[in-house]
Amino acid sequence: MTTAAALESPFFGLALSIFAYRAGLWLSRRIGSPAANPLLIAILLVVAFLRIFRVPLSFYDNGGRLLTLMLSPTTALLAVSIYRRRALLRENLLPAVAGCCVGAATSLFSTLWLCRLFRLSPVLTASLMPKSVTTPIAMELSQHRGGIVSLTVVAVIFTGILGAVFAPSLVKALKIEPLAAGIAIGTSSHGIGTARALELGEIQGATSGIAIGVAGVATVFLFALF
Amino acid sequence: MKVITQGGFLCLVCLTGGYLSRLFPFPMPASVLSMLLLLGLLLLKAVDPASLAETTDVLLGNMAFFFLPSGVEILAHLETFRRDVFALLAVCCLTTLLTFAASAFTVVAVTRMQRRLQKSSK
Repeated sequence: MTTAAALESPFFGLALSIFAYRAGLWLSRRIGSPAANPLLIAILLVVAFLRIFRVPLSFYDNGGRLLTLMLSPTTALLAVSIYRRRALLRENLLPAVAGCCVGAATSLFSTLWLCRLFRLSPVLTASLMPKSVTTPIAMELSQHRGGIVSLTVVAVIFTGILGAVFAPSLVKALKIEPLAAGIAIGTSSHGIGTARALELGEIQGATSGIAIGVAGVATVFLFALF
Repeated sequence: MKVITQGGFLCLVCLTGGYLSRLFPFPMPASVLSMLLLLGLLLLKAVDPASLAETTDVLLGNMAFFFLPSGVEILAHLETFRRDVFALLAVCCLTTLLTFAASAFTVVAVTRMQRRLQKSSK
């Protein structure tokens, strides 16, 4: 009984998160494929740990809550990464913003339409709709719509992995120019895609980073229309 | 002390963003407002980006870590969507492809249009 009570401490959730994430990073590097996403591995490790040792989710969350709190300042800091690339954004303002807005609208409409086609419940639809944007923005939009926030997080990661795995070969096969490639990768698969866009080239990486913030803001305003 | 001051400043930005988000008639994520607020402060030169460098590099460099608990929460919801897993995966795959294509096509089309306009105005 005393051991179980000790796990109620926030330090349990924090320690488990940190070591699971470290293990995720290590495994991801060992496997060396963009499909082996460190966050996804870490989620599976924590879930497995809680299941095997029968630790209630609420115990883990005593520490987990503190990490979730850090998402707001982290998202705010995306402003710094946009600011650092403001010259590039100013140079290509119209195509970049248009690409992000059309991409964000396509993502919302096609998700809504496909969810209806597959007869998914309104809760699941609300969880999927914001999945192309960066996680903290997607989480808040999903919550406002009554979606399952954790499903949104997993869908966002999965979408990012899809982009990271397939976008580079699409870009090469279709000979897409650097600006279009960067914006398309950032708009369709946010930060996880951006990490791969950086491997394609400097312009692709930088514009992909810009697209995360711009497409996020565009999605928020488009969401208000639904 | 530097990092603590940066953290304090970010707390104020997020506090203001959270307050402002309640004033919107539609769902406006507090984190998006905080981001726009900080971007405004940077563009107005009210804040020097170099003074936020340490926190920026640590937080943005490890962004994914902070999503871990939100992802783990899925444990509580597995039953809700167990039947629909394949439909959910299909939606993710198709929409990602469509979004990528629409976005890339738009950038190419707008860039070409701009070039044509520049040529005809010369």
